[in-house]
Amino acid sequence: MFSKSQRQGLLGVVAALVAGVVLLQARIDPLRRQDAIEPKSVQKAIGGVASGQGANQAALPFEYLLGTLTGFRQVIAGLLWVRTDSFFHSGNYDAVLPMIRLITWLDPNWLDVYSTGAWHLMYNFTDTDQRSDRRYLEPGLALLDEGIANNQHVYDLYKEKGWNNFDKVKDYATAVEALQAGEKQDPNHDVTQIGHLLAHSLERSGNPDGAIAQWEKVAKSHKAILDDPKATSEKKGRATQGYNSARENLKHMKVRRIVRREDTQPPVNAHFDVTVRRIKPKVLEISGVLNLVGAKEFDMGTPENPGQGILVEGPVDGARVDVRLQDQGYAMKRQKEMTSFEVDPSVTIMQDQLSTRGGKMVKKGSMFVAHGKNAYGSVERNLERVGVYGFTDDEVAKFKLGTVPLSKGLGQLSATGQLQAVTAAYPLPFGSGKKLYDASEVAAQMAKLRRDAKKLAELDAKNYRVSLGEGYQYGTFKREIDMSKDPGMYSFSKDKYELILSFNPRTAPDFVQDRIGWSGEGLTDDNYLVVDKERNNLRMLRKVIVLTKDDLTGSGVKTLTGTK
Amino acid sequence: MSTALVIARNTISEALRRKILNAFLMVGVATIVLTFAFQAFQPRQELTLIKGMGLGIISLAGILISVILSINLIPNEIERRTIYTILSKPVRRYEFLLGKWGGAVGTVFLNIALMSIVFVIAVAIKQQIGGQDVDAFQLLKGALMTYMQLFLLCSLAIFLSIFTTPLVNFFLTLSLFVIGNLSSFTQDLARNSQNVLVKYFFTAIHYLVPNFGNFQYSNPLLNPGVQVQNEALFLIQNVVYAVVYSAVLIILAVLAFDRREV
Repeated sequence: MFSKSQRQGLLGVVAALVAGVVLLQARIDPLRRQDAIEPKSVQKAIGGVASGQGANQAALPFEYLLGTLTGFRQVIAGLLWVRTDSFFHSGNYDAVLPMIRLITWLDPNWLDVYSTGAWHLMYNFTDTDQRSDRRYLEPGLALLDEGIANNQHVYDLYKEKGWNNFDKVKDYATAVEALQAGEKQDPNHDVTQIGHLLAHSLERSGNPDGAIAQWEKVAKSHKAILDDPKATSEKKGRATQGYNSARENLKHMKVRRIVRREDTQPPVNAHFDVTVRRIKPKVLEISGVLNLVGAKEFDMGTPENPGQGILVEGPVDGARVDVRLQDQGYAMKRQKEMTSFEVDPSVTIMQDQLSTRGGKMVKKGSMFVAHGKNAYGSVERNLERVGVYGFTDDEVAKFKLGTVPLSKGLGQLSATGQLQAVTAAYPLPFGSGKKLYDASEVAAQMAKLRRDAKKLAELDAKNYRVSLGEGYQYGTFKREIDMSKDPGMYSFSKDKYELILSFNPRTAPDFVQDRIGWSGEGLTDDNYLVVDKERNNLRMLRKVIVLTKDDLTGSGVKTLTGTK
Repeated sequence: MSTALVIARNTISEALRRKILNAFLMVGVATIVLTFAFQAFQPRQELTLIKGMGLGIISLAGILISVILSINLIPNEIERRTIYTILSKPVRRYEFLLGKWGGAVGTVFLNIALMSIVFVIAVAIKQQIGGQDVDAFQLLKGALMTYMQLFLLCSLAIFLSIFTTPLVNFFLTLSLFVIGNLSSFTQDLARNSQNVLVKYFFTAIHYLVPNFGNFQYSNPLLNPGVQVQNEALFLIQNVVYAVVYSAVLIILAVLAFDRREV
């Protein structure tokens, strides 16, 4: 047994140690409360239970709450994520949302939850025809902004924000901002994911010079990895692909920067027009005309020795008209934090894209392909490149193109027609390095063709003809948009709506931009040309039709605009 | 002191033969291995899940082992009357208690070390196969913090076992463990309260109840992009805290046991 003095001595030691404990705890507390160790958002996950703010709030079951409070926060987050995955795969998309909210509160540094959650919100809620529910863009972007605020020095979510703005929202300026921030905040960012996308975003935002500078920077970064003796072979493999891609893009941009100055003039008149009909309640038929001209054949060359640019131009397929129906005056709000994953059921937004097809032309003395009654006939790729189009019997009659087969019309071929004929008869071998026959070659090949009865018979059998007239047909678009199948998404609860039809050159394919320019420098229109100064003087086509609720939900067929 | 070491060694070998403790250990190891079944996820997500689950399983298994071992060490000896045999030899009461405590923390150390080594090696192999940067050995920091938390938990359970039955001790220890993990909340309550008495009450709770929440260090290990300020200082202070607080509890236990009738 201890003596009294020994006991007192030990109690004195205890008192000193207790004071030491208190002092230590006072020093530990500020380090422990830093967000890197103890994120403040955990309290929201717990507060969601305590506050009982209705079904909109995420709430932890008691056993998960206990686990969270006793140091198993990230285990709980992991279990919830596994559960979320099973909800997703079983198609229970609505159940995924509160889980994402809870997990990002429990573990605000788990990047994948933010990126997957934002992807889920922005891409997976669709109507019956797979059109995205654009009301979810706001919470999706807010979730990414929240994730960035919690993980400022890691590039991943900057990349996600950049991509979502690039691909989904089509807000290229915001994409550029996000990606530049990612580059700056995380010097160890992935060059391909951030750098390449930034270059594309700069181009799409109407800044080709910025895009060129970015491609140069990206190529340099990849080269640095290739030259680094410590880089692993896997890293070098990825850098090789990235370097080659960057160099190729750089070549394309630099050459186009030079050749487009001339190729985009004079501007092409788009002759844009749209007709909208309500054919049933909440079902619209949208049709219209867009004269889209692009490069059928293009000579690239190199930046040091640029090619000729557009060799053959003509009407092309493939560009898209954007159609958007929304509540009048609707504007997407940008929030810094995802306060709610519920969307406003009274808001109506529908967005879709309509492909333009069917533009064609033929001049007197050129070749065309007679498709007979087949409206969907195709033309060999080899002939498309030299501006040969197909015409149905009705179109041949309309444009008075005649019925002269190639073998009988050789003498009536124009210079363009002769080029088309020799290309059809004697295609240039793949990999020859030549795009088109030059003038002397055309003459020689024509002499050969005139003597080649067998070849001429072969070409006649393919319905190749010589045009006696001129024909030009604008591209058209047509789609039926049925919003009646998704009343939850299209509530039509407001009185007025805007139907916005637009064509943005910055989202057009390269072969179209080769003729109309990056920002529509080579585009004009009699009625619907708009110059958007806030977007680097973007010249685009835009038609806005104001509709009432009755226009959209009334019964019977009604033309809402246009002449038909 | 060599007597205490002998008792500690015997305590460890007895504990390692106990079926229930071995069961927790086996379940812990098996569950760690099972977490590698998350292959439906992308590699980075999978790794985050594995790391989080693995550290959590080590912690949970460790808590169960620590509490069940420590609450029974001294009461069992008293109940079986074997303590008389030991104390009738020239073994002083404090040596006996220190030996039992040493055996408890030693057993927990062996269990945690085994689970951690299995876990870290498995994660390292996974990262190597997946072509990712191998940072699995950073997880040992989490294992260290878990061990120090359990070190303190063992000390608390042994201290309380001097006064209470094992059943009461079980719930009391776990309750204090939960309260100790709520230290951020008690600190906030103390800070934000307008009532002076309430303020002092929660301040006392915050500083006097063992702060088990100090040892929750998984966030930077699961999310390598997170930057921790003064990491080394934080870890060292926590280790010292656990040792000093355990010293308080064991000295008080020694003093109490010295006067306890067995």
